[in-house]
Amino acid sequence: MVDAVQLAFGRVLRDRALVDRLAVDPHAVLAELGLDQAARDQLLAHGVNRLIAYNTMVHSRLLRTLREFSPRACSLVRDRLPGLVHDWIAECGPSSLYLREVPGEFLVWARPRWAEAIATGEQPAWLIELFEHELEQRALVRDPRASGQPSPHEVGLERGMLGNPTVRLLHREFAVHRLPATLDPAALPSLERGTLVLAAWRDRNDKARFAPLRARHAALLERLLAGASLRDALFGACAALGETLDDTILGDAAVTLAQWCDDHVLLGAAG
Amino acid sequence: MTTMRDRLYDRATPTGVGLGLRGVLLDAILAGEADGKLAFLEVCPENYMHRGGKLPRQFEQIAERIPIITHGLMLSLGSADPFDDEYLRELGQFVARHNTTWHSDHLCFSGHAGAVLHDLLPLPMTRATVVHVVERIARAQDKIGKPLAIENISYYVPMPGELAHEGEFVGEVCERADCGLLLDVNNIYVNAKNFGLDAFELLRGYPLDRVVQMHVAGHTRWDRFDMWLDDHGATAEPIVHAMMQWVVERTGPLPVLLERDQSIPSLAELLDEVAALQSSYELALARWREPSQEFRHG
Repeated sequence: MVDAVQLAFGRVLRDRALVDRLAVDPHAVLAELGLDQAARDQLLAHGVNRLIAYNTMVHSRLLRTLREFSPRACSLVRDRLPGLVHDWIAECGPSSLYLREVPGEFLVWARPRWAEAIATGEQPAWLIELFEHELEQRALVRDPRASGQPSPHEVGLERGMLGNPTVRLLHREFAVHRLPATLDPAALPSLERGTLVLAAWRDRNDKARFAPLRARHAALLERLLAGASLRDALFGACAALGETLDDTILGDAAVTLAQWCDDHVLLGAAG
Repeated sequence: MTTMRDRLYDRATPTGVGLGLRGVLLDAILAGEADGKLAFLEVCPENYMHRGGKLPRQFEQIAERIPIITHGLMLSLGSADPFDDEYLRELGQFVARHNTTWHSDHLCFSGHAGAVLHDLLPLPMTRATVVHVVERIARAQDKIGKPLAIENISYYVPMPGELAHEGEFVGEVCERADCGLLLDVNNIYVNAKNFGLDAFELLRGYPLDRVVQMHVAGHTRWDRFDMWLDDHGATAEPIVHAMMQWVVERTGPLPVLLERDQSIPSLAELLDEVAALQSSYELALARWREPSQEFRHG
């Protein structure tokens, strides 16, 4: 059973519009929230500013977290971000107990709103992908899975390959991974829309890495990560692209596999 | 009179002054800069649970060298929202792995109607709240598998309720839940400053027999709202040392933590502050050892 004061306090913490009205007529707003005169008098004993401070603390902390986790995407949204965050907290807010997961939850909520802003040209078409990319960088670094140790087994056509457990394939329309470390909203780079597949992983030095993949390499890696043998992965990748496996493709695949092992994308042959 | 310390402490319980482990300090601590200078490190499990990579690996290396006490942020003991069972399971595993005697979290709520607000929010000081929190403490202890200690928080709005003051509220919860108290003397001092009260009078209202650990920190002024903010962003004031001493004179040896979360200086500077706090602590301990009944409140 939760006290009426706690429920009302929770509303004050979350609803910025309510706080704006609270500043003007605190007793009326707190009465609206179901608080009697005695409770209102006590809560307001040191001024309404104390209640407003709590709303500011909660909203500022979450806003700071978004800016810390996605500085470039947040710099694009600039003055509109606080308003979005206020609306988000009032509507649903975060549900994760881990502050580091909050920006991802915000993105799920903001995505349709930003899609509208992109459709009307208010925001660059790559805003959402940039936000995702910045979150992905951090998600890779803290991925609970270990990035794995090199396999002692010899590579063979009938064997599969062991993938670094943190590896994932990202499908993007824009090369946001190539954007500079800081963005000037007044002179944004122009990125062409296309079809892009990136391998993303945490390397042996605990760094997040991203590498664009050619179509055949993406098809090959996808199959290897799914557990296919090297033979099936090679034939499958070629078939998917309407190619015939030949010596040139085999040679290219050998070089690529060696590079992936060097880069810790693959750990070697499966046992 | 048997105190919570008598019941919880064992040979491995560290006493003396420790430091809150923060990410920016990991490299220096791993390099050995704090070796022999800390009684313990206090760690927030949420920073290391549910994640992989370098950070938890560094932490595990440190935990092999320096005693660890766990202190969490996200139990939300006063919330009406249900516990996250997966979180409690992982937390239980974490505290078991580090062999802590108790786990502490705050007497507050953080969740409202399904939203997790990531702040330590004050509870109404009512008997109904006490009943609610006591029931949640029992369930949390059961799931985590360790005794809990609750920390008194700083708050900025006077919370309505029939209990006369924060010490009485905290005392009721500790007594009915039969749990420990992590006494944060800086929080009491901040509350005293923000509400125009006497810090020692507030302190005297707390149940010292329940205290198993203490927190010491600094705070800063938030001019925009004309109040003091418990942000752990400054060196602890002399009066906070004196409050810590007042407690230690009456309880005897305790783990005392120095917290710093904002404007974090170098580890060397923090260790100087730890050393100063340790000197204050030892003076108080010497007074406790003197056979003066005046100080022996349990």
